[in-house]
Amino acid sequence: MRLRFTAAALAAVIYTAAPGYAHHSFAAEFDGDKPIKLAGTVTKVEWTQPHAWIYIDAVDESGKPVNWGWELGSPTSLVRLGWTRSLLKVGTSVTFEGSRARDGSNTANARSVTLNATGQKLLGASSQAQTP
Amino acid sequence: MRQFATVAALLIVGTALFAQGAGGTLTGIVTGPTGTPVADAPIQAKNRQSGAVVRAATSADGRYRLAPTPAGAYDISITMPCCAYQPFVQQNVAIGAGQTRQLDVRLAEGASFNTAGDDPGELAAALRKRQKVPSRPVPRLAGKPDFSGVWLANEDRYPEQPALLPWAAKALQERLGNNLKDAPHTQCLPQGIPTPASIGPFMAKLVQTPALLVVLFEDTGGFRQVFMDGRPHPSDPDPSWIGHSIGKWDGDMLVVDTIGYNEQSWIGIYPHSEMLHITERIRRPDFGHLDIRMTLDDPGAFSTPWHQTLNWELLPAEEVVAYVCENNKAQHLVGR
Repeated sequence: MRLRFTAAALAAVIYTAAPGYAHHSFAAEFDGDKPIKLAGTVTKVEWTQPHAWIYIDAVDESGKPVNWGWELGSPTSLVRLGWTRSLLKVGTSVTFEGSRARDGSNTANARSVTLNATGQKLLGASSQAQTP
Repeated sequence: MRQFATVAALLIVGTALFAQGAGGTLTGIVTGPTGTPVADAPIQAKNRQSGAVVRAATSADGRYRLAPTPAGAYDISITMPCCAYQPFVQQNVAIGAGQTRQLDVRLAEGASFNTAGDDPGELAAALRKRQKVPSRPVPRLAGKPDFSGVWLANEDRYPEQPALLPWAAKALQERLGNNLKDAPHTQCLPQGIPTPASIGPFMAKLVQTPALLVVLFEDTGGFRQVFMDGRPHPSDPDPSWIGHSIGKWDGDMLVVDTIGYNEQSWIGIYPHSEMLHITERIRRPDFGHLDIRMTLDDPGAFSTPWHQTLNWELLPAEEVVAYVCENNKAQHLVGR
């Protein structure tokens, strides 16, 4: 018999011990059901704890320029995965993919970053991503 | 003696054969919220009557197979390492004798789901890949094992659940109800206990002297001291985020006793009271590993003591770095 997830089964899902949790709850800030993919040019890099932030200039549906902030993991982790703080410089053309913020701001959580010049995917939580 | 051994062997074989015939099989595939298979997910089936446990890890394509014996009702659980996925439990799954039942699991997104650079499994794999751990005897200091070094502070892969008192269970539900938005770390406060517990995978540097063990870690606060000079706990310690720790040797095992916690810290996602008392029994079974058995006792929050088993790995190629929470942007934390 193949079991399917029902409301009852979901109700039985409870939490077990998880001593450690990342800096913040992803779900309290971002909505995994609101995916976003956006190409643009890097305007600012904040190489800061607890998260690195990269800002890009993109255009909205009406063609108006809009600045978007993308949250990445902590620099501590990024460095251990092969990043450096100078990897993405102001002016670099990139494409981000991730999830939009719940508060409706021009803010998103980055799942992956691709260099538009080469098509190289820099880093992501998905298994097909490559570290630089 | 030989006769006894033969009888014992026959008994064991007999029991094994009987047990094999009386059990069932549970198989399935474990995926993330988007349907991608989750590899190396630790899944366990716990017999609701006897408490006996069967464990397995999913393969690269997310598949698992558990063959518990005897047939009966089992609680199935998966607790992934911090923090991409929420833990999963399904209680009272009936597994019939000789039957194969399928249970597919879709894990819900966790605290760091999909954040580039924050995948704990990816990070732990990258760290392990560049370590060269020599095979040599455990170093000793003043006649005792020396725990000094940088360690990957792994969590318990099959953690026990705490038995929460009603107020604590209610507080937990409130936390889950708003997606953990009030976790202390979201306000740049210490991540919580047991320390270290920071951005996963956690790293800790232990610096040991005969009378003092210092723990350095990458989180707000950043250090912890274990006094091994024979001093007792203060009679009325000021409650703090990391508590007051004293250590005593029991042979080659260091027993660390900690009290004096404040009520603000979270144990992962769980609440506790100022009555929290943690005992850590630390051994270094070989050069590359620390074995830590932890008992968390808190009559103010748990109805019975709570146990965890941690297996830390030596990281000779790593160094801990400063961590100052300087750019939090908590204004985006809205909950649901």
